[in-house]
Amino acid sequence: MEIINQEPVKINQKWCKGCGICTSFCRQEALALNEQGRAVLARPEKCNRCGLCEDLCPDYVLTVVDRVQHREPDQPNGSGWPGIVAPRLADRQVKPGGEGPGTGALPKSELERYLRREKMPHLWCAGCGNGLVVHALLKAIHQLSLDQNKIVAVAGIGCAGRAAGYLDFDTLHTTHGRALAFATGVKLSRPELTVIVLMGDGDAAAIGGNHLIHAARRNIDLTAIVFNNSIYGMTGGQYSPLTPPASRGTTAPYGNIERPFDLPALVQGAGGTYVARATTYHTRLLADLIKGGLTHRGFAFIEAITYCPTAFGRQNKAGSPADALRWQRDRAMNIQAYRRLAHDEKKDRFPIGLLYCSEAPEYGASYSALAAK
Amino acid sequence: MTTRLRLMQGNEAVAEAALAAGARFFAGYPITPSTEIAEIMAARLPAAGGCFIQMEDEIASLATVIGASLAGKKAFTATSGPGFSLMQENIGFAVMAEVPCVIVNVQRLGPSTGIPTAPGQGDVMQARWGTHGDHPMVVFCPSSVREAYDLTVQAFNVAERLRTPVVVLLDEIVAHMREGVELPAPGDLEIVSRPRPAGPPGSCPAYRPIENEVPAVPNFGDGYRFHVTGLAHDETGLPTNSTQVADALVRRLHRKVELFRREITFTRAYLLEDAQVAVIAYGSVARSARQAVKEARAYGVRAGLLQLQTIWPFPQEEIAALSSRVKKLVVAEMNLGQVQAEIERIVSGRARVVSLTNAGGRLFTPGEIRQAIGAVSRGHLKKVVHQ
Repeated sequence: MEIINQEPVKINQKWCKGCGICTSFCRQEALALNEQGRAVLARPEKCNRCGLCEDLCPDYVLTVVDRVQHREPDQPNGSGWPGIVAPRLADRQVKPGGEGPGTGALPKSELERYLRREKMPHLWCAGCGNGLVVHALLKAIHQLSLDQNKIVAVAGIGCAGRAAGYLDFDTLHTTHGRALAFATGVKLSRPELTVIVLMGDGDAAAIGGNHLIHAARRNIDLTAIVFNNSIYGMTGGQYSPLTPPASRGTTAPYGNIERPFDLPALVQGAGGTYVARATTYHTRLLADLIKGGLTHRGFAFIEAITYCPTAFGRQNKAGSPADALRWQRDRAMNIQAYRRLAHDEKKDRFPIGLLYCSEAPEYGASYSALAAK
Repeated sequence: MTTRLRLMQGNEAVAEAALAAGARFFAGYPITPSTEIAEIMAARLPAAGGCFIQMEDEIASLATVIGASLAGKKAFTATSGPGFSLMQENIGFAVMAEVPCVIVNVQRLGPSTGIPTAPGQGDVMQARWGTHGDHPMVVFCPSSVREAYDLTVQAFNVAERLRTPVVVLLDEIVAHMREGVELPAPGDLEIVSRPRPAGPPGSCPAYRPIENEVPAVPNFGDGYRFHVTGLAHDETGLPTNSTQVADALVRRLHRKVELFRREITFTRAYLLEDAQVAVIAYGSVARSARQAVKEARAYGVRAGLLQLQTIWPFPQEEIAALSSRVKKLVVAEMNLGQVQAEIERIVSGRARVVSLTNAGGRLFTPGEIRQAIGAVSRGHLKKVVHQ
């Protein structure tokens, strides 16, 4: 791997796709794109080692050396964005010293431990948020010190489904929509394994909707993460059950006239016992929520709001990947604060955080109890 | 003195055989006429250290079975036509990803919902070609309760040995008919388990064929950290867009079944030595055919029966050998000639093939088949007889 050692930021240019997120978010203007469109540290002297570029790079290109404690106004969970409180459930699981101060950083050397490096860089487009969801998942796994040999990642079909191929666990890339059913078999067969299910929005909510509500109803001990990019990305931008009204898809050329699912509400209504949502901007919150899901005994559901710059962004003139992250930053609101809003104020906002958590008998435990009788 | 003789129905024999073969996981969805298998597994698996789950549909059922198998359990499901249709998607996955599993399809009359309580044999071609793409299939078809037991044990053994899905194709009559059977003692059964990796993690790619074109894919959770996908993949299991690698993979999937063809092709010959007319039948129809042959002999017609226990891979050598000796063949089946067409292809004009068909969910009586034998022996029957 070619590491251009330009302290204070190490840049792995081979994985860089030139999405421009890092340069856009760098307040110090220390980063720039070179002639090939790859990130370079143009003005190293200006870098204040805030680590924002590292946190928001979906391609794991940047590593900030000796990250500082202070926060930038733009920093996820930073002082500039007061709403976020990590859920207590997840906080309890934070391994002391397991993450950078307040940043939730996972050092690149540690991150790569969990990746099939021969498959990198991943196939996702420049600026696609899926890499950020995977990063958050790996942070959560790392911070919980889970045994890499005892994790099974089960994925569906679509862009999100390709995540499994990059992860150095036992990985199962299934048929479209069926990931939860495959995962149910793995979990019941070997309950000691940690089973993580990675799905897209069409995958989980359309073709796999039935499996989603029944996995939630059974409260089987799976951690399900939906990469919600609001569109069918891999097939080129058709509307999904989570495409916002009036947004365009190639199959909604005049704007989407369907109503979208409120997926967390659906899962809660179906009986899920851990229901959460974060965005790819709120990287630490996302990692914390996944961590909470992994330690939750029962069906844990995390909706990760991500962005498809290619299939959704272009059709809807939604702007650059960096613009999309800012949109997530500005529209998402911590659930506690969101609940205090008046009805009218909730327009154009959506809640993030641990939306619902309860306890109920877990399917596998109930089955074991039955078998012991 | 104790006897092992038991009165049981075909579905019960399937469940007993699955347990004896080592099945410890069942996922299914209720459907007539297969439901007894799920009911028995629900009752028996908890005490056997296994797991039963009723899923939300048949798509999920087979998906769950595949997941359980990848984690190391011998796993199966049971269904009937409408559910079998839903399972086709994941049957293809199990073929491509080489996941051992058994699918029991108790055939009822179709198409569609048909007559749920009536027998049928209309799924012969669906069992072969129901899932998309070029793929091999192994399909067994019992005609008695004891055969339901034996062929179910075989199904698990073949699934494990070849790492491929195997279908047991019953029909409603065999599934619900009760017979006195003496089951083999558990110690007398040959039980096969899937090949396991010989070396430690990292020593061999998960999908590299080890012996007879079959890879020793590890089980999840054993530390090998490998990838399973329905995409075309290389020896590591990771996806590829290489047309060469994909071509080699699909050919190997066929070859591993082809190499094993003789060992998994089961037929039963009855009074064929001097036969001038041979009936070819499978499933419950073979029972009527057997009686018909006996009765025809009483009338002086030298008739015989070739019963197919393996439908796929098709017993082409056996049929070809038969057609070189016996020039008049009657194919009786509860469909409009699905196996007959396959036989015509193999016989290729060497013998006259008469098709006795029935698409209404009714079993042939021995008398009907006997009459067909008689007419064929006198040279009176037209090529195709529609019942």
